[in-house]
Amino acid sequence: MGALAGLPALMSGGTEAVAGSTVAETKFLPIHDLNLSPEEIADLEEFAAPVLREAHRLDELNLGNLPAESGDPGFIFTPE
Amino acid sequence: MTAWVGVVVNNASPTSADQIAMSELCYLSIADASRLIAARKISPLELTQAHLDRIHKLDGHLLSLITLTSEIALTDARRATEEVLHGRLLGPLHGIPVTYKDTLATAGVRTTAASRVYEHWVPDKDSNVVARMRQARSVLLGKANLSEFSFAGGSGDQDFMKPPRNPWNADYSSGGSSNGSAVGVAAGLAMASVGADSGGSIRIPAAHCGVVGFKPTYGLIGRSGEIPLSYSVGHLGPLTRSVEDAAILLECLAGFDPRDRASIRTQVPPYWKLLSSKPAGLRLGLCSSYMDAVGMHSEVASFFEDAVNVFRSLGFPIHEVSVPHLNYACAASYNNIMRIEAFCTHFQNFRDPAIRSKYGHAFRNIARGGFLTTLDYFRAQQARALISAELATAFQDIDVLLTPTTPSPPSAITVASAEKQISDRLGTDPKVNRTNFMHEAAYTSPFNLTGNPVLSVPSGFTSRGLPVGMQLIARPLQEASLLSLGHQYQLATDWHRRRPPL
Repeated sequence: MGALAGLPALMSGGTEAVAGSTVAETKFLPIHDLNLSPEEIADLEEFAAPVLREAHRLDELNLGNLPAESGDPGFIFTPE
Repeated sequence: MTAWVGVVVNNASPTSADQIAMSELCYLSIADASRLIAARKISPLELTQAHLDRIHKLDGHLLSLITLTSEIALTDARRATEEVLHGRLLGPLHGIPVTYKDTLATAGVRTTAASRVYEHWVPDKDSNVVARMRQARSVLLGKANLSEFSFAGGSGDQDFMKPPRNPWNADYSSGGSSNGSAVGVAAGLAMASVGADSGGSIRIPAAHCGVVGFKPTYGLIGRSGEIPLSYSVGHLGPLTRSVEDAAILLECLAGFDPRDRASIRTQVPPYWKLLSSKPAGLRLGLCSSYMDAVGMHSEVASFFEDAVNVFRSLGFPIHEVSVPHLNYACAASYNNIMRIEAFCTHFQNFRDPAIRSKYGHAFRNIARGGFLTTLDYFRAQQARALISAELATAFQDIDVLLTPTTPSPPSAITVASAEKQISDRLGTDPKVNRTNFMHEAAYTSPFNLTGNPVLSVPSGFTSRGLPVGMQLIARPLQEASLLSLGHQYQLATDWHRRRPPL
């Protein structure tokens, strides 16, 4: 999967790959910077599946584009 | 013990050290021990020696410590004893034996994070919290065991260190990740410990081991010198056997830390002294929609209802509040922010195959964060802004929110690793996955996201004799009222006075 092919999945708010591909094929994921073997990546990918599903739950919030509509993307956390 | 015996004998006091059984010395509260030290009824050296003896007797089984610092403890204790003899008492922590989670740097004492990666690392400087506790003349007993790098998934087998065992029943989980701290305090091996909490790592083991765990407001306790898990949801805090003792420790630990950019500049109140005034007019709250969404074990529910009724009987009104998107907080905090920040923390280590090979289970757990994207992180931070605002709105109607600390009592430890246990629980149904995946942190991690102070207190024991806990959550920087309310609860109940069958 090329970088452009991964774009729609990212825009939906997560790392879900397009049909017929896997997360590990999404070349720009930080995990690939570790230079692991394809077997190690595949093993970790299976282990990471619940994490990715949970990450996608935040899509349900319909938070909109970045920055958030309030103008405060919440990147910096400062307790009041 | 020689330094003190003469004083004790001369005084012929009924509360002198030679008349208090060793186990009783080790179960004194810090408040009581400090009074006895000030009155020269017991010495720091006697207190320390009693704890060292108990550690030698029990910790081969309990595994609460990674490194025992007997010589340092005795040196610290002799110095503290000499100072008392010369009329120089530095405060309530003078001569009190304590431990630290082994992610907190101790000058001259190895700091391992329970990993082979740091197996031989000896810092040359104390972390902020250790320096503060040393200045208060506390005694360093040792470095407490934990889940590797605070993220090994609970109580599974680890390559470098086996997990600490629950003193109430070694067949059940002691929680994670500051479980060595909690086990030691519960078992009378230390009078207090300082732990770290990025998703519940102080409060969950505190609840599972029947002790008090306190996660203060984000930034109140400086974190410089800590091997971190996650910068923006990470907190440090005390584990003790009573709320009163937690107040004593917090007074020492809180305050500006110039080496932690998140540290707050604020006046630290006299938390211990403030406990003596009963908190009046506090409005307590329940968020039933959130608790219904998360669910809880029947015995946890029963004890939680009892605890709410205790507060009612003390005259505190209970209100229902709504935090509409709190059910997403765990996904944002524990799943996204903590994992991504942890991945970034360990990134350079992971890129080096020689270092990477030294990781145990923590590698797989932390590497999962490498499958998340920048957008996942931003989405989580947006959710954080949304949920924090909703919670602040809820706190316009109440002063303290109540929840269980964990949805379930400690789970049985199987022969499977923690990773396998999690995997087994997941199943295939998406809803089950969501419910079980971060089940244990469902009530704790939302407040790592929002930064509110949270106190966990023991609130019951199951039919199997296992402890469960309850959380009291307040607005940022309202630690004093939180501690005061928790103290009132402990004056009305005796769960915190129970001792494990050791």
